[in-house]
Amino acid sequence: MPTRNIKSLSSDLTQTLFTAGPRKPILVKDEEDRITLHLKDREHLSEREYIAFGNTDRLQRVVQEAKKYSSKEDPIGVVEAEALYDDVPDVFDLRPTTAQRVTVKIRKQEPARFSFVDEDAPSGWEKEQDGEAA
Amino acid sequence: MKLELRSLRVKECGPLRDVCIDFCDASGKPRPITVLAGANGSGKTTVLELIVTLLEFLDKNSRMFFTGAVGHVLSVGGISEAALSETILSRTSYVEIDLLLDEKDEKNAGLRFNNQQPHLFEQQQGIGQLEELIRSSHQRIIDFHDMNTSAVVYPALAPSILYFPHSRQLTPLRGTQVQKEETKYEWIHRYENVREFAGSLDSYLIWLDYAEPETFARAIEFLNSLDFDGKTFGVSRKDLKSTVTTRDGRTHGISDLSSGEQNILIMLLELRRRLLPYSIVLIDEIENSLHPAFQYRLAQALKRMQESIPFQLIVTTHAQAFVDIFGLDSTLILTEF
Repeated sequence: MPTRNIKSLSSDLTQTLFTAGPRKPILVKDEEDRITLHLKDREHLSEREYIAFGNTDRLQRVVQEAKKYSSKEDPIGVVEAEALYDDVPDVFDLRPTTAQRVTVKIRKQEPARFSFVDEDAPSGWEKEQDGEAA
Repeated sequence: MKLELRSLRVKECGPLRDVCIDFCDASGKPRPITVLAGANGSGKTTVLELIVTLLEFLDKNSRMFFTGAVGHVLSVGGISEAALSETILSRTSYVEIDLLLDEKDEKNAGLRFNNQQPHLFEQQQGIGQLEELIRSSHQRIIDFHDMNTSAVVYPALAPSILYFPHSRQLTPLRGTQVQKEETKYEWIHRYENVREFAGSLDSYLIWLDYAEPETFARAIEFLNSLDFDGKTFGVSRKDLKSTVTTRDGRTHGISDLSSGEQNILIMLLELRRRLLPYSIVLIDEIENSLHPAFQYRLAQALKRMQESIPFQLIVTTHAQAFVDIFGLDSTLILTEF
């Protein structure tokens, strides 16, 4: 068995591991996401801890550093913000609760197209124009 | 003499299979403060116990060399089976400590214990000078000295190892006879909860009040500065008890302080009483019973103390407050990840 060297790590990784303790750290983008998952996953908080990271580059650096020094294959989990509410990865086994957050997407409506015929056009000419419905 | 811990190598001791803990910063110098963090069962207490136990063997007057049925050292470099069986070393395959003794000369020294037959206890040459200093420091009286002049007052004393295990409390005491409470130099001081009057903090304060009024005044000033919600400290000569008077004028004994207040009082008063320059202070579960507000207060008090008198501090904790105050760059994670 190789010697495990315990030495200073980056501040971000030290804080992540300190907060997580024996649990698997799961990094999420911001505090709002962290609170959402923390509430959703109450039953498993002894196994994993959600940590808000904010900056994506920072988050990736921590994941890379953890992989470098870790004896495990997948020491840190990451939840992408887009996957939070609609499609939670199966690995987290998150059960829906009544307080589940719903994202409402509002899409800008394309203007309705119509055409009209210019009645005053000279015989043999028909003029078609585009316009918006009132 | 300067004494700093550089690294600890351990094989097969409790949860520590084969680890090397580095107590130095990026420049290779020992950090003044190290926070050992990690899950329960990750080996934090084991690390402190190993440091204290291995260093204890540097003191040939120590109980380690004279206890048990065999009762003597097998050889200059050996440890008797009986002495060994009482320590964590009996459950350790290998442990090695690397020390820095003099920064100017970059003098390093190592201690190594290999749990094979015979039990070898090896030390590098540089340690002889420290051993000699420890031997000559015994019986010297130290007590609540002026922190700013301690290096001048005690130039010839060896540093100490001051260890506070996780259980720290003041219990109601038996016995009421006034004892002479001189604080003598100890190479290793391990705080122990006492139930007898003699050797207790009660007895110590009462002796100071009786025999050392100037030191007593300093001690009381120090205790009052701890700021336990306006509580003030004193001694009732009639009852032979140290007393705490609350802001509203009620009085109780120091063992009636809350467990958190007791923790702070024990650690800071004992350090103030025994700390010599360049000592190593080890505190297990430093946050015991402390509200975060008191955790910050204790951390800041230790840092202030370190500004007056240099010492290496190694603490174990689960509390964020100590990481906040002592710094993430001083924090080592023992949990395997």
